[in-house]
Amino acid sequence: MGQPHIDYYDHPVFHPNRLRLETPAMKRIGEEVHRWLWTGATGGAIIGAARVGKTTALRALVSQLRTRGNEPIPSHYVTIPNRDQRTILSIFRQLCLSAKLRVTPRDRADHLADRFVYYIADRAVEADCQYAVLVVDEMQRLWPAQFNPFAELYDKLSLLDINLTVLFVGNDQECQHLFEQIEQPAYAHIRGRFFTHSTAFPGLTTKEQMKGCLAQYDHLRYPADGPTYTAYFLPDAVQDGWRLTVLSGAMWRVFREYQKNYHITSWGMQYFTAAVNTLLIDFLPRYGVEDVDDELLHECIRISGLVPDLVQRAG
Amino acid sequence: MKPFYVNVGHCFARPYESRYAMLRRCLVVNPGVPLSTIDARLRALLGIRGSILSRVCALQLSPAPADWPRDLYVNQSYRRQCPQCAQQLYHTDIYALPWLVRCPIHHCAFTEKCPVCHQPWPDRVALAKRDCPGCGRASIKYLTNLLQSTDYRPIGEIVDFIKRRGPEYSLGTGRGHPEFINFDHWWREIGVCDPLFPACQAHRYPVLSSARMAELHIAYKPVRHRTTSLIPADSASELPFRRWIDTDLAVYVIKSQWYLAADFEAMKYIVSWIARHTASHPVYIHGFRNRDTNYFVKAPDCCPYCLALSLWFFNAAVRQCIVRYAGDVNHYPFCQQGQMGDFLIAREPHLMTYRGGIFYMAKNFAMWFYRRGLEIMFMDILQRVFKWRKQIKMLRKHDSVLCEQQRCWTNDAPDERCSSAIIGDRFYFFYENEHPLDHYTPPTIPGIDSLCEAHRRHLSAIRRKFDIFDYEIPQPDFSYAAFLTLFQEFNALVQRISDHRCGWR
Repeated sequence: MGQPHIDYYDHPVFHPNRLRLETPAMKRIGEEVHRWLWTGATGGAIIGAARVGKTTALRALVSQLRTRGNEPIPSHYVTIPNRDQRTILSIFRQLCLSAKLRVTPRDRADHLADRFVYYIADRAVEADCQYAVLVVDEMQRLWPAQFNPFAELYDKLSLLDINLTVLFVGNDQECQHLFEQIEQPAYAHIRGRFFTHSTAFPGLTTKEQMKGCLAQYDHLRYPADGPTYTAYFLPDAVQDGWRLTVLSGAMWRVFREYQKNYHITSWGMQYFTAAVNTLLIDFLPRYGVEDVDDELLHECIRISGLVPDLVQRAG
Repeated sequence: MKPFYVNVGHCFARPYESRYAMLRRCLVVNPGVPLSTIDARLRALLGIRGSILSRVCALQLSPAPADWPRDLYVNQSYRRQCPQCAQQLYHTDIYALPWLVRCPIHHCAFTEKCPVCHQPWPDRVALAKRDCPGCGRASIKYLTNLLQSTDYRPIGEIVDFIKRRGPEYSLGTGRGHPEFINFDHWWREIGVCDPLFPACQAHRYPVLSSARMAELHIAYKPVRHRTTSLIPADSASELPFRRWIDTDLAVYVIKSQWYLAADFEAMKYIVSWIARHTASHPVYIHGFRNRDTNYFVKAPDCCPYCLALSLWFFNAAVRQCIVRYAGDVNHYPFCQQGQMGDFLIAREPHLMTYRGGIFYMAKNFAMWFYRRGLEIMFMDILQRVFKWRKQIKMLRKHDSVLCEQQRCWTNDAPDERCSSAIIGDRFYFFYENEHPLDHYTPPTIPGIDSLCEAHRRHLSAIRRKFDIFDYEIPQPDFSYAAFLTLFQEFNALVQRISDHRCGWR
């Protein structure tokens, strides 16, 4: 039987949405969220810098949530779009759209709310679970009043004997004004319900963490029975015993320069993977693994977009 | 249409619920979505075969069990509901059973209207448009009490009671021969909706005590039963009930005295019943062979009892005598023109299991069964005759073709309802009344004596010689000797008919 044909450009390295690297932050956030769930938290906030990997981490996490009895917890992920009109109705509409429920311009807010409530209830019953998790990404796009629909969802699902936990995910700098508003007494019910628990989601903060990510390039395989990610692009070098983790020291040293100059707290995963992918796909196959110097690494980081973004933030 | 997800409402699912309840649940958990839109989406998802009810049922985590009794899918079962169950979005098909008088869960009476909006319980189309919390698409704020634990075990007990089935078999009548011919049966096996069902089922499978049946609000209508042993056909050395000889020359054969005795017993009972209801009107057996509707329209009114008894006797007698000339002897054009349909037939019973085993019944039971068939056969004919007489009167008035409304004969079952079962190695037959005739009140016919006499004179004036049959039943004592005389005269008639046919050749 012949081997199925694999398109060269089908490799996950060419598709950032399919590239999944486990980071300590992801593991830590998983433990944190489980702790919230197992202690009966009704909600929590996960805040981090832009492009640090929060969405990727939460999308991977929602399918892995378990009860204390190791039963899967049904979960739903929704992204809040940026709209000029921020209304209660728009929240329910977005929730229903994300669940592929029927939405028409004539639908009322209470109909949409109930439709989504029953959708979550159905998922919970199918999973034979009395818990449900709703992950709301891009929370910085919400007005304070737009948190009330989530409280309504919680209340209605409580009537159905289902415990809903809402996890809000947002960018730390953009969320500041929102947090300040929620501190007002008028939103005490929101604050107490959804923001008692919060945690930060950083990017790569240590050399060991970065080395761990590089090691995944040396271990993950594509296809499942094929070469490692590194070997896919550098077969000869890998056969000679070379590994990508060899570059961890140099890469971290170069990044530290940017970290000091631009006051970066962590290396966002988008920029990290962009830099490594550029190195792996273009520079190393062209110039060889023996001629890797700081200039090459600087160029990779520059191409990743880390510098222009930080220029805008510093400005 | 853009595809969308249809909520099912699993959180409100309850055991033994009907498909109507599943649909109502689906509508509640998809608020604001029209029924037609949901149906169109489900058609795209599940195919166009079946109804929306079946499609909604297919979405359930636990669809209706495969052994749910087929006759329990009562058409329009939603018309009768428990108001308290309805407020909990619950309905089950067993609520349509007429013998279930109250809700076994809430012990309240069933209603045909919603107590909240006072409208009749909605069908599936009206259901989608109704917002009433009692019967329609209730909002979630009305459903807070749904998760209170409700004990549905009583429903399960009733379902289990209904579902019980024994060995499957086919009950028929005919000659004691492997190649059975089944005629129109005089009995009709009741279904689960029949008022007699609880008593029959309780006899067959006593899983519920009478006290428990009362607690479950099951109305118990007593039934009688008879039982017999089953005799395998292979072990019967000869056919137990009749001998027959079929030759080219003989037009009648010597029949078993057993059959004649049974015929006599039945006829005697019928004649005495007629006497009670007609103030001892003299009853005649006439030959109405070859008479058409036109004859009866032009002739004086005939006596319904004489006509019915004559038809009955000729049908019973000819099938005991000779099968070959049955069609000739019992040729009644007026029956075909009046669309009376085929008369019921009484024969000895047999039983065939679905594994192919054939069994007869013991003689006493078989004779009782046959006699009962004769009595019901007469009652059936009499009822048809009464209806047909009205038709003749209308024809005399309007002088036109048969009115459409009279064409369709709907014969109410004259005690044909029964049930049966094989329990162990015995056959049980359940029925309501020992003598069905005793529970039938015929219409009163004033001046029946003169009416009968007028028609008798008319009939004798126009009858052909070979076709004459005019026998007065001796009353008040109709003896076996008189019955045999009648039977011999009938044989003589058959002989004359046969000779006349041969003469035509």
